[in-house]
Amino acid sequence: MDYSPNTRALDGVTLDVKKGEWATIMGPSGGGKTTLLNIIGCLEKPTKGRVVVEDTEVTRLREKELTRFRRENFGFIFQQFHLVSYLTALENVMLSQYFLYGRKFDYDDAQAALERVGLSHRMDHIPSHMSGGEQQRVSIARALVCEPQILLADEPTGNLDQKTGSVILELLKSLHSEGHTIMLVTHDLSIGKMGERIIQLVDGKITEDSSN
Amino acid sequence: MLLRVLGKSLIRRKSRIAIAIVAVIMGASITGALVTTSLNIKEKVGLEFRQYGANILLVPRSESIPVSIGDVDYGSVTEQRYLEESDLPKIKEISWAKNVLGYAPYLYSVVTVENQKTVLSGVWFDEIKRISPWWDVRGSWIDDRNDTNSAIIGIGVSEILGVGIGDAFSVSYNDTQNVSTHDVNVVGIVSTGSSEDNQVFVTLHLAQSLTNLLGKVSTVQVSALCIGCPVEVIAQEIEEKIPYAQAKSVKQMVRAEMEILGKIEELMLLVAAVALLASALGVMTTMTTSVVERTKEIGMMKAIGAENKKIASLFLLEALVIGLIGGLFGYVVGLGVAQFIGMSVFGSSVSPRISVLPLVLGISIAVVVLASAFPVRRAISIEPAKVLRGE
Repeated sequence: MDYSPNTRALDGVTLDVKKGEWATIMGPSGGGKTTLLNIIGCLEKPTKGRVVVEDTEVTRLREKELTRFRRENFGFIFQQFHLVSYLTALENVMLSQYFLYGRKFDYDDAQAALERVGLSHRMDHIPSHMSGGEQQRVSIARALVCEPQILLADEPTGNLDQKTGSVILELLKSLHSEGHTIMLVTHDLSIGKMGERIIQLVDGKITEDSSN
Repeated sequence: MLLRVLGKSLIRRKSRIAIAIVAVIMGASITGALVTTSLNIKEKVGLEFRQYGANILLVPRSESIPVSIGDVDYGSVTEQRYLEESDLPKIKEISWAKNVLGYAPYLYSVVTVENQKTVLSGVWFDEIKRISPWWDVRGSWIDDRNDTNSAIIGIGVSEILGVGIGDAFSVSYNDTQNVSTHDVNVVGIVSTGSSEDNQVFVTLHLAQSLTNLLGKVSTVQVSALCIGCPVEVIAQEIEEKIPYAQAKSVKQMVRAEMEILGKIEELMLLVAAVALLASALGVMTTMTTSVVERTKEIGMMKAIGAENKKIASLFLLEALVIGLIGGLFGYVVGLGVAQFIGMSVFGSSVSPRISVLPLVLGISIAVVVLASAFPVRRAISIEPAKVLRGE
């Protein structure tokens, strides 16, 4: 994956993640962790190589197909939460449903997703009236509501204190136990050890791929 | 959901949206004002022009008969012909009938009044009053078309003959065989500053009796409303209805009328175009700023699966709302501006035209949607990965 002739974000990366697996991608900043996650999540296309998800070679898909594939198969959890500031927690979750189902979204499902992350009492609050941990839980509810097989989390606890971060990680653990495939990017080894596999990326190359 | 996002987004950025709406109001109000003023002024100018007289003159077709004796050519003589009064209602049977304001028949003859030769005109005074409102009549008009006792005389005739309102005089008509004489009372004196000042006017009925030309008229002046209707076509249609008549449009006057109206329209079009361009730039700037401010939001939406058309519809709906609100308020403000223009430039008030509202709304929405094309393009070209990385 090249960003420019002089910058190679990923180089010769070959990776096979099994269904239901929790793989943690670790490594120094600028090592290509987020790029790898973006390529797997169909947010970026590699300049060379193939990406196959659920028997679909996503690198061959056109943009419109990629968008559809992305919303049907992935749930994203971002470090910065990326919630729409003027929508309530419930509406932020429903937004994800709207993009997948159009007008046929289910209000009850959105409520259930928020209940699942322990935020049924904060449904009508806007992000600025919620703590960082609550916002991240809304972001997880948004990722879960359409029941994707794969959850991609990029430093999900990076903006949270340790206690709140633990709540989020517990939540991810329970989702993993329910059968979700999780790919998580982190700098924190203790978080990395929560998964079944740690992939070390340095300068765009996999330097270590170990099972816990 | 889209409407919910739209509504909340509009409320959250109400000050920016207000700026865009103000930009649209400016363009829409000027457009609405100019269209309203244009429609009103065109009508007023048309009416004013028509006050200068009829714009179609109907005369009988004349045929010249060559006269020669032996090898000597004596030129030609033109046979005196008339129009039939009974054919005149046909003028109102043409397809442009609603544009015919009125028509006034004239029967001209040379008569003797107080030993002076003068022109006698037989007319319908009620029609004259309608299509020649500039006639300044002192005294009273003759309202009865069958009146045989009254006359209105031109101010020139009054001065030459020393006859005034209330005086009576005899009118003599001398054809080759007989002399007919009739006494009339002067009920009014007309002043137009034109040839009418030197004529004696009586009812058409009296003139026909006196000259023994019952049912005949010499000419008919037709006043046609010429906004949006070609006078030449009206003239042609009248000729088709009355084939032995020749309908001449008063081309010079019509051309001048059309030219002035055309210039007014061009000027207003130019001003409206500039105002709309300024609105479009205002909206484009606001929408572009909105896209820049919402880059992360758009990036996130695309990341979680929003298609380009959903992102575009979000902004286009916003543009639609701005266009609708701006157009509506612009129309209302435009009415005030139209009044101001009407009073200060043309010296007359302007009546509101509801038909201008859909036009203003349509133009406002079209301008806003077009102005949003660039920002929308920019929004859908946002790459979520780059935005989420913070680039």
